Amino acid sequence: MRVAVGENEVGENEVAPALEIADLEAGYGPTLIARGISMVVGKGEMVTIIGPNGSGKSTTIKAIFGLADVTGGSIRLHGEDITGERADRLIAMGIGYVPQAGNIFPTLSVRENVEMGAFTLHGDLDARIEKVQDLFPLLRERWKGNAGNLSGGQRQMLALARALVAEPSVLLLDEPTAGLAPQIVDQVLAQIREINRSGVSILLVEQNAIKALRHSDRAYVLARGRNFVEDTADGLLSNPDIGRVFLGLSGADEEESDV
Amino acid sequence: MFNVGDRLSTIFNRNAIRDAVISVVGERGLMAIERSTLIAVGGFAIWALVTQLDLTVNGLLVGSVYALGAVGLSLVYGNLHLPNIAHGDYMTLGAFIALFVFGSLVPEAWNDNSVGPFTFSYTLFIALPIGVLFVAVFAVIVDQLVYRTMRRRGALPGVMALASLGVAIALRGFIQYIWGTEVEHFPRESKQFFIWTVDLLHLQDVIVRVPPDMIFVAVAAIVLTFATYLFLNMTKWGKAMRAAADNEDLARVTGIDVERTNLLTWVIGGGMAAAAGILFAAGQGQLLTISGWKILIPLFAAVVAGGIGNPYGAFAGAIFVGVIGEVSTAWLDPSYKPAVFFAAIIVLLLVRPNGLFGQSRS
Amino acid sequence: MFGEFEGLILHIGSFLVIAGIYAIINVGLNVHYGHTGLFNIGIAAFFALGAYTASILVMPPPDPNLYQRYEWGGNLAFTLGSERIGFDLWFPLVLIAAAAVCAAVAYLVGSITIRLRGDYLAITTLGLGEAVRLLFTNEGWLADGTRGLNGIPRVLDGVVDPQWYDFVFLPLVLIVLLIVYFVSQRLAGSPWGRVILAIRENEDTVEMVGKNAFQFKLQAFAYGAALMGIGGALYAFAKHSITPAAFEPFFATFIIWAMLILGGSGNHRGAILGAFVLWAVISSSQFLPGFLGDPNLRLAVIGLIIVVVLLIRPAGIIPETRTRT
Repeated sequence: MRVAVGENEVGENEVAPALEIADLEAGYGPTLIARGISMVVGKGEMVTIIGPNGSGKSTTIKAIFGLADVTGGSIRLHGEDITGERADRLIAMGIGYVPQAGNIFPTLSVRENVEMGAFTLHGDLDARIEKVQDLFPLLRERWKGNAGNLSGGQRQMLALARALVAEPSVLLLDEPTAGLAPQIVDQVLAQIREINRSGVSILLVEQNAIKALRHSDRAYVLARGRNFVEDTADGLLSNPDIGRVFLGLSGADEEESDV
Repeated sequence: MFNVGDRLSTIFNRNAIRDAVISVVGERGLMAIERSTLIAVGGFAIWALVTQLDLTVNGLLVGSVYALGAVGLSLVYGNLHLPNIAHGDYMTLGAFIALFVFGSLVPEAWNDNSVGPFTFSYTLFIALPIGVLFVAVFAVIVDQLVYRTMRRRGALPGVMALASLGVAIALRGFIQYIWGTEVEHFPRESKQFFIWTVDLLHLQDVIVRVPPDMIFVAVAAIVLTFATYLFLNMTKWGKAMRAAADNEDLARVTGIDVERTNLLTWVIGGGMAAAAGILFAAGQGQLLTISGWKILIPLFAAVVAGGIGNPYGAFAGAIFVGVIGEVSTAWLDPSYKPAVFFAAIIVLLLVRPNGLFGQSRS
Repeated sequence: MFGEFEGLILHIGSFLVIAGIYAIINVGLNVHYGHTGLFNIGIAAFFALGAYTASILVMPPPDPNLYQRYEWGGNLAFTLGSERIGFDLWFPLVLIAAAAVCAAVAYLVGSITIRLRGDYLAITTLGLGEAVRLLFTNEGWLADGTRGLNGIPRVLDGVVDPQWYDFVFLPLVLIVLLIVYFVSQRLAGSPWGRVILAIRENEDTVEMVGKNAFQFKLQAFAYGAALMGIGGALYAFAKHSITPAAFEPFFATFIIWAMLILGGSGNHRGAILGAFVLWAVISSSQFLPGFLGDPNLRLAVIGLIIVVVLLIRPAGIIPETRTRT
């Protein structure tokens, strides 16, 4: 019962979604965290995963890149099974990943960080690098400096730039706004939405659930390693039950949540 | 309960010393004390270096040999988180391979024509690449047999270091089993030292005597270290090695083959060790199976001085350690050199635990 | 007395004495590495300090006719009044002094390095081992330099024919070993020992419950070093003479590491068993024919034992029994 969902309605002609996760079971060693998670990211969609700690948000993303042990289920990229693929193959197939913590190489220069993003690619990189520089003018200013000297927001930009230089069609982001000041959170999320609008499908794990939802098309709410609710972003934001339980909204209060 | 240790470590804690001094003499007083201490230490150092110019120059040269060993050691330390205790024995292995080349591989007569002002013949240039290649391959094999298995198992750095101690002991045993424990000599022809007389501020004449071989060794050390620098900063795989050293998990999800960068680290580390061992033996004129173990102390002192995992820091650290070791012989028995290095390690850890250049890594 | 077996029996006696001493030192190393996770590759430093402290505290003043020049070291025993209380009472005090000197040095070195990254301790102890040996090599006034100290007075000397002395000394070594074992075992089971084990597993959690992990590690380092010092002291009495060369890394550091890894790091019984097993192999290998008896090959085997046991049976002969939490 595959349902293709997306901004653009997909008709009868079966076009595979950008990313499709089915009944994923994954964890670390003997500890199972994801216990049957399914989700779909349509082409050009921006999808957010929210849920309490230990619900399997990050594990789902990590499982795709082999950082968590997959014990069941499947992961498909544009209809092709990529479960257990090596990282270099994944990048070549057009999937990018920005981990949560430690997502830059601090003693490498900004330029070298971006170059590492294209490590598995061949041919001329100058054009790609140029493109990324245009996308993040701030980075261009600090191009030759050590990445370790960047501010928190700039580090996230660099991490995005590193993933984007490989020109992925799908981008996985694990809490890109963790530890950032509130003003910068919006800035980074807006930038991510910008990237999404340019045609990159995005799967995003976020703690800043409300802010993330405002920039997303759809969202999955996970609990105890399983799917709990799936809805459009607007639907979730206006759902009073979900709002109270998962987003920390009480009545009209719109403080950002910290679930 | 038992807080003697706390007290002691407080005594050795810079901030605590600072606070205590400030409470007595105030901020200004502390600054004055700091400044005068710096001037006194710096002044003494300059005085010692200048009056012992002969030793200083030779220290620079010895330091450059240490540098060859220390750069490789630091690279392995930084990239694989392994304080490779077998590094000195890799150096010894390289030197014995060179000895084998001189003794059995090339016609004996080839060893006779020494090059220019140096004591060695051009056969050194045959022995050097063979030794480097051999030890690089050896280091890779040991990695595949021992360290890779342990990495996969997620062994702690301490256990890996212990394994490298085992490798060091076993390697030395085999070297001694094959070549014996006698002092060996590279083929050499006696040559005049370079001698310069320096008129020091018109006050006294200082005679600087330098063995020609040491000049060659120092130049080779600088060239090899610079080549390493170029490789690490200018090539794709060199950058990947640095990336893997920086953040291994991220390197892996970026598609960098970390097993391959590990192997490259061993190729460079092992090759540099062999070059260091061969050049060190050439410079010293003799070769001992134990020297690999003995040289570990100045090498680690250099690595600590340069900041662990910083190969260029290790180069500077090695020069620093080499000069300290040589200049100390003006007052101390030369056999005390290891104790001087030990003292240097202790003082560095107290004053600058992140190395002389203080670039701290989180 | 025992006819043709006399040589064999004498050999067994000296084997057991030395193995017992190694076992004591190995318990010390097990406190360092097995229990606390401290990587000490300068065992030789504490081994030598213990042996020299004990020897200096019992040596008679030097005889000028023998070119002996340990003026300072030779007068210490007399100055401290060893003759007044008699040597048999002096003996336990000497062991305690050896332990105290080693503990003090460990405290000093440890308080500088243990707070820093773990591998700095390895680097410092490597240097310490060499530095201590150099000290005794160069400072003739202390212990006669490279000639070392000969004819070290021994406890219960003259009770039997000197060639049978090992059998008088053996019970003493075993008694000390038993005391060391029981005290260390009790310590490991005490609240202190549980903190130590917790530090090895995860230092941060220990800090989180408000324990000063550094302080515990430092105490463990000093305690282990003290045991090594006691072993060193007994070694000096067993050998009757010591020279700096006796504390080269092979016999004073490497072998002990191989013993610990072979026996099973993390539990004292393994450490003791490892000492006896490996010393049996090493001391009998010299009787092997041909290349098997080659001392250099023995060195290689010691190294290979460490590597192979770490690879194939990381827990050693007697694995540590971990208490479940």
